[in-house]
Amino acid sequence: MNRIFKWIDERTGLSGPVRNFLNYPVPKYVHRNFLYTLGGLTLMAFLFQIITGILLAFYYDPSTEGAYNSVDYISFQLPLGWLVRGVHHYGSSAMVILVSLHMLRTYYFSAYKKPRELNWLTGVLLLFLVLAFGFTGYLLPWDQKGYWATKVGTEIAGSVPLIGNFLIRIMRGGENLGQATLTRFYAGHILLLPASVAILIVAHIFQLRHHGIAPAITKKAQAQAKTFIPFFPDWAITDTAAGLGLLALLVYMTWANHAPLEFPADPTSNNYIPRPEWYFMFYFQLLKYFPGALEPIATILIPLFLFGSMILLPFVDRSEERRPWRKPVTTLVSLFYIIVIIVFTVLAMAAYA
Amino acid sequence: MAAPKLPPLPTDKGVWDEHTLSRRGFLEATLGALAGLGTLLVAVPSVRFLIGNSLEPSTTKWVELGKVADLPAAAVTQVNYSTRATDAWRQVTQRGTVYVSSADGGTTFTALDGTCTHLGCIVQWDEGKGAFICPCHSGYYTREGEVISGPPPHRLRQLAVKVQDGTLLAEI
Amino acid sequence: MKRLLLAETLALSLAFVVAACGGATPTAPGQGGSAPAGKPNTLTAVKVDATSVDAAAPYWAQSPKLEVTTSGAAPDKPAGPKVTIQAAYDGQYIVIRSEWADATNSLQDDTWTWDGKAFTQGGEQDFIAFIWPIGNNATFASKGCAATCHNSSAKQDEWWMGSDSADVNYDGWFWMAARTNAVSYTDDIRWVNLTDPKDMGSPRVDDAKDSGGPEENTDGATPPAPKFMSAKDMQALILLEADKVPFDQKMLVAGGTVPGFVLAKPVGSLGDVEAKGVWADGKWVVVQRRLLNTTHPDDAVLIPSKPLPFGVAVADAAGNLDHKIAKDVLTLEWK
Repeated sequence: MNRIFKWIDERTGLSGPVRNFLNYPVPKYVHRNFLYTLGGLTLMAFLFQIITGILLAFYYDPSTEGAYNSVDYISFQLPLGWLVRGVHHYGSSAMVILVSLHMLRTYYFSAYKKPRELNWLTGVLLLFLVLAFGFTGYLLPWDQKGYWATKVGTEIAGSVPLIGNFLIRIMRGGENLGQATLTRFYAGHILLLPASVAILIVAHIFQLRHHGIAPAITKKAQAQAKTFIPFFPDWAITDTAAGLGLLALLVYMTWANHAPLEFPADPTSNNYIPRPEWYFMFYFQLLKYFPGALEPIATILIPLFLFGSMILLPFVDRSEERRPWRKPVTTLVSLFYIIVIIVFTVLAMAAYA
Repeated sequence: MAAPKLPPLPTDKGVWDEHTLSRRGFLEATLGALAGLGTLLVAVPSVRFLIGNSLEPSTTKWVELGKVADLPAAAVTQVNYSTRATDAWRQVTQRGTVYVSSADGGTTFTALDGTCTHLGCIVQWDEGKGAFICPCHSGYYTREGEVISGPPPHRLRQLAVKVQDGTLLAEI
Repeated sequence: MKRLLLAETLALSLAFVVAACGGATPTAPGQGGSAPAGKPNTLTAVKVDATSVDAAAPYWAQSPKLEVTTSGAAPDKPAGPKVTIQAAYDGQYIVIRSEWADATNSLQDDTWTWDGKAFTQGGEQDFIAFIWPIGNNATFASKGCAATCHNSSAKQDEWWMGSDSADVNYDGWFWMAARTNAVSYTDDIRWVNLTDPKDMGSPRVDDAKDSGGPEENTDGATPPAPKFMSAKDMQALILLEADKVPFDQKMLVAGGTVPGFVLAKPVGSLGDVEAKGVWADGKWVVVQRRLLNTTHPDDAVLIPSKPLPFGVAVADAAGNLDHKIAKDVLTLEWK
């Protein structure tokens, strides 16, 4: 065994970098702390999406005529098709939740501060890409839900002043929602987005390793800051166990409620009420408050402002203070947004119940 | 532009070529230019390719809505039309919803596109309320398509109509 | 801070679970023997160990009831009765129980009546028909029977009995009080596509059969007369293949009737659906049972867990011109 490793190492030179990666010292205070597994868990969820996504691509037919039938086939006739599609379906929600939680942790621990600004930025981009994954993904079954959600979603882009018409055309690949839209969303969902996310994840982890984990904020943790454990196997075990737990949860949810598939898209139906995925609900609710000419405020200004402030955050909040209870402004602002999002989501869900 | 100095090679390995050292700035600039040119050469056609035919100007066509004699003179009637159309590389049956009404008892007709101007859902005619109602965000329009209340930014699109051989046609 | 984050984590996870389980709230089982009411326009089939065409089987007490409002197929006709539908399935079969008020047990079906001098032929029976799209059908799923024959078009021309797509087909279960019920089955038929809107012919065709099925009871002469008759009943409305004897004019007195069809249960896809219909106390109770997947290409495949849109119609001593249809799209779901 040893000789084989040695032979491979002599020819690839990999053992050094691999050993460095695995033996990376992790401060003891993060070990077995759930808050510090959120990033790794998000990566795990992404891996599950990649695996189930590749499996689904073996059967999916990206055409307006065949898409619904192929997803129907996967869901109801293919052995374990319901399971693979279900894990992919619930996995997308898990991605959104985990990315959000991971960002909240980073936010409250002020881990975005110098010198980790770029890591925060790659994270914000990743959040954006995860949402783009969700948006492109649910058109693919070409059922009523996907069709109408995409129709509304692209119309939202179309309400942007001046360039709206250009945006809607680019997104749809033409004037109407049709074959060109489906192919676009498909290519984006299975090639462009995964490749972009993979590159950003590498950059994200590289940055993390370069700067190390952000300083602890509690006295208890600071006391442990000089003791380290190796990434492998100690920390990796925690992440793997958490990942298996996540997988079990996804499988259970799929088993309890198979991923929904509505009836095929009918562009002429006048009684279908589009419902966005739950994590876009608050945004859908927001749109109701800006009628007529005010619409671009909700469709473009508020999202731009939110993403803009997330991007600018590390450059605006440059104080040395890292303890959230000593930084009432950032803490209260975030709590305000969380409450607004929860309230809007509840309102939107109640409206559809 | 002065190129940063290269660190010396380990003595047991050898030395950097003097000639290449002196030309390093030039080589870097050339490489940058070539890489930039290459990127442009790839990026410009790629962007054009991706835009594809998305921006082709809209074309209109006339579709048959039905025989004038069969259309109710007073009521607002939902007409679903279907017409053959090209969707990218696919020949498809394009379907749509038009609401036809007449203000003068069946002599002239008004055809309204059923697509809500807010976010594109299809509106429903509610005879009791005498209004078109969008199921998505409760936009209300009058029988003539003007906005009464709700989020729609402007009125329902009115389609040009004409009567040919007793058949009502609309331009979509 | 850690506690706050944990609370947020829990709240978000909870939201996730609630969102994922949303809409799956199971219907509470009924109490006191009455079946629970179901979701609107949704027929929920319940899983049972074994199905049969028994209208009093115990599982009907647990199966949610779908109440269907029917209206005249033609715009100038009055509305029809409420039809109550329930469904159950086992590993192989689906069984559907329908119940609707009907003051008369109408078994006339092209029946010959002898007035002492000549025959008149006529009469319409009661029926209930189900329509199931074969394959995925977007328009039927969102518009129901309006997507096929009963569209809301103002143009009578558009009332053609077909579809504009060449590969659209519907499976039909056509239970008839006289013609099929007497031999315990439902005509398993099909609506095919008539792609030409000018074609006003019937798109209804029988599924394939090897033998059996109703035979028109006529000698084909001018004027026509029955070919067979019942050996014992000179007022018969039903004539089974086994009971038929050659027609003998002398046996009839004025007012006597001879059935318009000779009945035999078909062998083959036409006879896929077994049925038992009983008329009593001013209502019909009809139970129909079919393999979930008959493997016949002219039938819809029913897959438990996959929702399927369908439509239903009933008629009281009336033909197609006055049958009563469900205007809403109905959906078969599985529990």
